[in-house]
Amino acid sequence: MLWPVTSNPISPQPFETLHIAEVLYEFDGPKIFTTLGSDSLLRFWYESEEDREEKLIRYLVTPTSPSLIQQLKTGHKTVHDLLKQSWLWVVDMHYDMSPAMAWSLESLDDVPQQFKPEPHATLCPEHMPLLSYRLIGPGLKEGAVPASVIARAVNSPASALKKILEVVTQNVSQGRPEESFRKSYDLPATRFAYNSFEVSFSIPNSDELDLQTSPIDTYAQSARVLESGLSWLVERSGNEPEISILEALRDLTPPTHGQVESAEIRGQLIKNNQVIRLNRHHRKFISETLARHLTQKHQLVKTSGQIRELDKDNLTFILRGRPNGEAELKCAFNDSLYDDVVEHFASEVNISVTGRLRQTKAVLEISDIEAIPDDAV
Amino acid sequence: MTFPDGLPDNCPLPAAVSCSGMIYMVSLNNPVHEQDCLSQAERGRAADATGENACIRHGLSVFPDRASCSHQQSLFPRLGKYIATARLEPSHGKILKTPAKRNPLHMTWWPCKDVERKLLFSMAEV
Repeated sequence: MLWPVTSNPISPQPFETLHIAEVLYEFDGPKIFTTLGSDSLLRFWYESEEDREEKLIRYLVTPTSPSLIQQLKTGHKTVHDLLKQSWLWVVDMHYDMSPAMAWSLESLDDVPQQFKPEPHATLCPEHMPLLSYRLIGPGLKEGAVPASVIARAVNSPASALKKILEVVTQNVSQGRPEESFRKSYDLPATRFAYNSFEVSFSIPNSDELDLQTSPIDTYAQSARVLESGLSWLVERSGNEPEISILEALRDLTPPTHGQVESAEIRGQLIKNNQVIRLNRHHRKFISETLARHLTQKHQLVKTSGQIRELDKDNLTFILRGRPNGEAELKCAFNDSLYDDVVEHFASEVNISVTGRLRQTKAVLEISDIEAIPDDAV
Repeated sequence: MTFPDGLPDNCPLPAAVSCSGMIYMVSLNNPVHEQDCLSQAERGRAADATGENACIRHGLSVFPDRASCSHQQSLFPRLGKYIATARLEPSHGKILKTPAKRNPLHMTWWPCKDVERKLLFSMAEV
């Protein structure tokens, strides 16, 4: 018994005398393919269900084009994307590929969930996203996603992956990272979906990466680190991860206030293609754990002095002339402080900086900087 | 090694080797039901196949790892929401890598006649 179609049947005549143009996916026969009909229309076919008793196969069929098929093959479109067209037909075919019945559907939403591909499923397994990050909250739908939510969906996974890769590759990127390392976590966003709001990231072109091990090995190691961290966070099993990984996990959790209430992650970085959902309780748990560590190991420091050496490429500077003859201190800053740092360096003024001192690296990661007026020195 | 009746000539394919190791397949039922372990031919869908394809339709579609099985499941959710796994031994039949379009790790397993297929499977760990 095939799933019920509620719309009125149409003539199956356009689906007669089919010529399969290209088989795109097969096991036990073609499952996804294109046909070229006598009307010269290229159609995309997806096997939705089979009725073994009636010996019928139900297909979802849409008009398509060579460029869409190319995007499907390269992983820029999913199979679901190709079925989400203005025209969608349901066609029941006999085992000899002669049409039995046909219907026109208004939308892919009319097809029950289990009889259409999952939205993220790419044609080729190797094109499955490295990481998909979905933010969930009331009112998050197409046309109503605030820019801040989109920014979070894009930035949080990159920030988390950067921290994980720093651990995996032992790459200590204070300030601005090297370009090849940046590309390893600043992943190409290959797909945006409004369910609630989801961004999928793929593996960057391996030619652009200059990692010590192969990108596949590096990401596989990252997956193991992430898996172990998520296991600790979600199942409360295993050892507590190191601070960098805790920070990476916190990046992936939803904020404690605002529209986003939970976040889902999936993809090749997640074991067994699972979907992991993180909520505000997870964030609270990590924040409490991090607070305990930061107090112990990452001391909050406020100091002063002059910027005497500035590395504009790596976004670091050396602070000298500190009070009470204290030793020089290496400071790292982010892009948002760049203009202030350059100005203070050029004007040779005394400055006050605040940040977290990473004792293991002896680097002050500054969060605030300001000039000290001459009359206050 | 005896195989079920009705296999085409030269089936299992000559390149097939004795089973050994883990396999994964998508299953509709938990625990795996007899119906989940039928070949396409046993389901009556081999009539149009010829040559090697006819033989492949007499085997079961399986994968050597969970990830490729999971990809197939995400493309065709109707196949089932479970992923079952079995550790095969030589007495369980013959197996061959049978890559197909965009399905590079696909394998075909031709079970021996008396193998109780469903009993070999358990649910893969999540």
